[in-house]
Amino acid sequence: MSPPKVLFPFILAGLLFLGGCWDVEEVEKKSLITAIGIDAVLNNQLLLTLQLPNPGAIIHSGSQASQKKLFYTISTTASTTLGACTDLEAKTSDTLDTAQTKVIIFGRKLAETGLAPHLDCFGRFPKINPQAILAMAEPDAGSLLKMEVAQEMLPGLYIMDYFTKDSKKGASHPITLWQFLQKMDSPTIDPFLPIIRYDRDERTFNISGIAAFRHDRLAFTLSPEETKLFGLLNSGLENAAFIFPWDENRKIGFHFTRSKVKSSWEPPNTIRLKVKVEGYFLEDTGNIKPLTDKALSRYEKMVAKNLAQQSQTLLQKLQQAKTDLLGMGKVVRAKTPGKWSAAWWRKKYPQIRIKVQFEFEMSRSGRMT
Amino acid sequence: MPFKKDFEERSLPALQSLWDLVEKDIILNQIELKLLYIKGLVKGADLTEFVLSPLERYFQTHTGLPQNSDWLKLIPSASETKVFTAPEEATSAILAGWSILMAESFDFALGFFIPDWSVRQLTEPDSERMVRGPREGFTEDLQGNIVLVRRWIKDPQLRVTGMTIGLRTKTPVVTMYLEDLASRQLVTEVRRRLEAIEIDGVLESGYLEELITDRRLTIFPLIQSTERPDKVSAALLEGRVAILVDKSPFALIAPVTVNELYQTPEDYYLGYWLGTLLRGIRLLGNNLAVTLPGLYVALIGVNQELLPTRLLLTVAGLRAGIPFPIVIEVLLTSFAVEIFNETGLRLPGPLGGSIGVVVGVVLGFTAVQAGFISSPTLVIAVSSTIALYSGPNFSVSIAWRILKYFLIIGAALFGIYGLVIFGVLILAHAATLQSFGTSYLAPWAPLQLDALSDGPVRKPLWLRKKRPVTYRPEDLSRQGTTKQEGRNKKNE
Amino acid sequence: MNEEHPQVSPSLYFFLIFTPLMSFTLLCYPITFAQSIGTDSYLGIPAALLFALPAILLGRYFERRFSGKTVIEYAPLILGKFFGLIYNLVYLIFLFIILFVLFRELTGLVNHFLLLHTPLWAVTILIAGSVAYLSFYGLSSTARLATFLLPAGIFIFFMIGLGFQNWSIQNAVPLLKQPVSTYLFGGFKSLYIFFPLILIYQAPAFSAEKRKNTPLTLAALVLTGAIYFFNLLGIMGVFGPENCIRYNWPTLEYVRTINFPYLLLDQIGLTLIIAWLVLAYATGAILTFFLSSGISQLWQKLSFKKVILLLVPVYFFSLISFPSYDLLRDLFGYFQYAGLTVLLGLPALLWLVSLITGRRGGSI
Repeated sequence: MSPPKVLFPFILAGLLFLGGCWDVEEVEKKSLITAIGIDAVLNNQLLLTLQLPNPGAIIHSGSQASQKKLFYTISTTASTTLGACTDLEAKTSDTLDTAQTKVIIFGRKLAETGLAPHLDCFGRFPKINPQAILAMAEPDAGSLLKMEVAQEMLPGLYIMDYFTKDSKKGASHPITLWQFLQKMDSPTIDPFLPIIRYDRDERTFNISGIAAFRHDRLAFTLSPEETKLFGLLNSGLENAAFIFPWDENRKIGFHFTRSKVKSSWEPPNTIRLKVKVEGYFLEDTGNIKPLTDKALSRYEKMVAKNLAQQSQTLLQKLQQAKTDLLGMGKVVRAKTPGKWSAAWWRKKYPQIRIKVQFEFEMSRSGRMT
Repeated sequence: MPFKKDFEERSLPALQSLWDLVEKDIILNQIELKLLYIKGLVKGADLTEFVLSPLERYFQTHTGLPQNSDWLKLIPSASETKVFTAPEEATSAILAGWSILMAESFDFALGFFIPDWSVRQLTEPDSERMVRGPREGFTEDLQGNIVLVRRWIKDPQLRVTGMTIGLRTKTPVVTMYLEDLASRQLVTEVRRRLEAIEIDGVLESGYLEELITDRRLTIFPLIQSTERPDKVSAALLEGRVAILVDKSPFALIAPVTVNELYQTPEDYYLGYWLGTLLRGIRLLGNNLAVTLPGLYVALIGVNQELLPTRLLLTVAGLRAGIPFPIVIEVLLTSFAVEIFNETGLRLPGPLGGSIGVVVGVVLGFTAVQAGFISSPTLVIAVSSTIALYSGPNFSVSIAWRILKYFLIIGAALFGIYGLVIFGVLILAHAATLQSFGTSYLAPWAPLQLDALSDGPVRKPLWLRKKRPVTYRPEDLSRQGTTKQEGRNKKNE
Repeated sequence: MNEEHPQVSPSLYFFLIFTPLMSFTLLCYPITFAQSIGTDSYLGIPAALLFALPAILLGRYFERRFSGKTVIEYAPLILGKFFGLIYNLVYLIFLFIILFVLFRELTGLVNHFLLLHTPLWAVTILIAGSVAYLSFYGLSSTARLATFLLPAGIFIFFMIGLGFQNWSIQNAVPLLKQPVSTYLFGGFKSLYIFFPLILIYQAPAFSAEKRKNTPLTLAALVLTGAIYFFNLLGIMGVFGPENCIRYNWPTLEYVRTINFPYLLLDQIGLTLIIAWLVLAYATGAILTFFLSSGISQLWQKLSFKKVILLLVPVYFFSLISFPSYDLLRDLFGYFQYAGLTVLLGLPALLWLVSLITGRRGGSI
């Protein structure tokens, strides 16, 4: 018998002995965690809440069996994330599996004390999807995950769907785990999280506004209006509506479709942002006259001026909060390679002058003249 | 020693024990003649008309025996005649369907070949149907099969060399190749391997396939078998060798590559866009058939992170309450489908169809309803079995059918990792294979770009100027100066 | 030619060099570059290529002078029997360590991402056994498989390209603002990415068309360099150096950032592991073949097949007895420099000695 024929049975025999199937566990015997919520509670403890789906009910939802609940939650307190996870294993007969975790939500209090220690576990554990979406809950994540939504779907999937819709990105500003870690690690930019609340009356989530971080700590929260503006400045905006007051009775609304930002460093102390916005005219509460080209260009100028003013205010607020949400550090680092260091930038950022110029181009004006 | 006496002493006793032997002693003009043949193998009426009547006419006008060489001229109407000098040869010839005529004083015997056995009509081969293309397939008649190929290639370079294999069956085997195309080495190698066979009987070309294959332990077919004469002709034009065996409608073609096993002549009869699409579908179907069950086991049983949440939740919901682990479930379902598949083949025609419906619809539906198996598993098992038949070559389909289970086991033990390593192991095995000195994975490995361009994609005929280098033909050029489209439109 | 010394065609030879080069450290090399250079660390790749060139030249010199001979055969001719043996032992141990690192990397990856609870020995036995199976059939089969797996390489390249969807130029600048020595030193330090190039002291003897060897090796090296450059450029643009060093396998993490919501597979990035596994398998088989063929040339009594049978238990037990992946990372730091000696230093010495001793013993 020539050697290869000897070898092959060996491998096969070895495999039969292996038969352990250590990792084999069918999907129905696992509890797939769809969402994780982490809150800070007293005495430096964490409250970890897991949202677990009930697949049998999801399959038959709509039919007679829909009385069954779509999901259930389990929670526990511990000093670290991993500690809490191990404690939770005791609360369910199934194996907990993070492979499908798509949403990780932090409570506001935790965000204020810093996220880095709790993110380490998520960044390290290979089974966590780096594309999981992060958000900050107000007031706390645990109670939010227990809520049902009127749409009769898994809340975890609801949140995931909301953030992955392209048409909503102008307002939702999704951020994934790897993006947050990247922004947190990088000295040139600070991370943010979208804010999520639960509306008890309508039984739905309200996702608006973002929380700006300084490194890993919550530094400042942006209102929904400011969030849209941030979208314009961050050039990631797709679809957002802005209303501008013309005078007391008349308001004009625009739908912005695209924004392009060019930022440049002007030594010694100035950053100039040139923002080019495209959009269309969608609402005018007072206009009855036919639109002329002249009027339109007046609108354009008004919008540009108004946006520039608002942005200036927002950027000042961010500077005061010492959070470099727009990644100005990158711009400066590219131009001042010798001088630049993380510490230098931390000190420098609140002092620099940021000048914003807006240019608005109206592409359409709707069905009416 | 006169032939007749010798024959009667040495060979006749054994022959006389045959129930269907016809032994006629004829006396014409005082000359004793003996005619021997096997009933049923020889057309009696033709024998009388073309052999005995001319003889009778001869003896009516002549006396004495004709000269040696005149014997055969006497009987011009018999199509095939031969002179036998050894009694053993004559015996074999009688058994092969010859009629033997011998005279007292002669040291030879005359043989006439007037066969009378039924030959199946030319029909479209069941295993290789196609929409466009000739409707002829090989039959069990070797002579007819050679004719079928000859009708395609009328080149004097076409060589047809014969030999007999099988000590007892004495099966005629013919190798066909184009003298100025096929590589010399290949032709000699084929002949060497065929000549080395010593076996009592060859019943089908499958015997030879197994005996002359390069690697006996492999599961893959290293020789192509086909029922289509056009496929054989195309192979000959690429410089390959065909082996035809009597009583077998399957011709063998050597060498072969994996790539070749996924092509049909139809790809070249239809347009190249369609040909490319069909090849793509075949490859996809085959790959799906092999990997789908394994992938399903790996994704549902081990590596759930690869599936989207919604799909996974659906499967989890459907699988809730199933008593079997996923591997057992997939194996059970697949075995069941295999059994129905085999049964469907063996059942008498009209019954087959209705049983198929009953089994497929009723049993499958009931099993899912009863909660023995889950519906996704059924979908996977059935679609895998169906997809397997998208490939045109039956033997390679069977190989993959077995390897499918190999992959399921790999996936069941180690999930995606097991699936990949077991899959690569199959590829590694395929990489070690050679078919008559040609790499089995050619033209992918070694990389032969020109040949590869007519692999997964069907190259337009006007670009196919060269024969594939894979088979090392003696002459690479395939087209001379076929005019390009548009070049000769100047007159318009 | 007998099966111990098969001859492979030029296209197979190319993949014999290219596949090991491409897969050896593909997943983790960005860390050292990011650490030693920073935002424009991709510029370290050309520097590393520059340092790898002498190895090719040395290989070419030996190949010309001792046509059809491997380092195992010509080292004793130059250095004499004793020192030649020492030289070859160092060479083979180096080859073994490369193989060891590759396998440990592979099993570590599998244990991290695909099979979390499966014990290491089970993962190891599967890969070690199946690699041995392939290399058993000799070089042509191994090279054929490596060629057949070209689509896996193309897939990896494609994935690297897709990763650019999150790319931002500002993460990857400033460009060339550091002293040139930083790039050169960074490239030199990270020359380990081209360690499989050591095969050029052994593989050319197995090539059927000797004239094409050097261009093919160069092409394989440059292609690998281009892929590594492209990949590092992507990683820097997406992660930046600070975030890149957070991960053990930055290339994998980089590919996992790809987001295609409409594909059936959810975490499409994980398919990179599969593609890499497949390439690493071929690399393992190639290196196993050269290692065992080298050993069998050293001890004429053993055929390379027997050596493989002996080698499998050796690397199986050394792999499972090696305690942790992180220790490997630490030790690899030292191996990085030791390897440079074997790849460049010792052959240079050999070259000098052969120049001094002249034609004696050469070109037999």
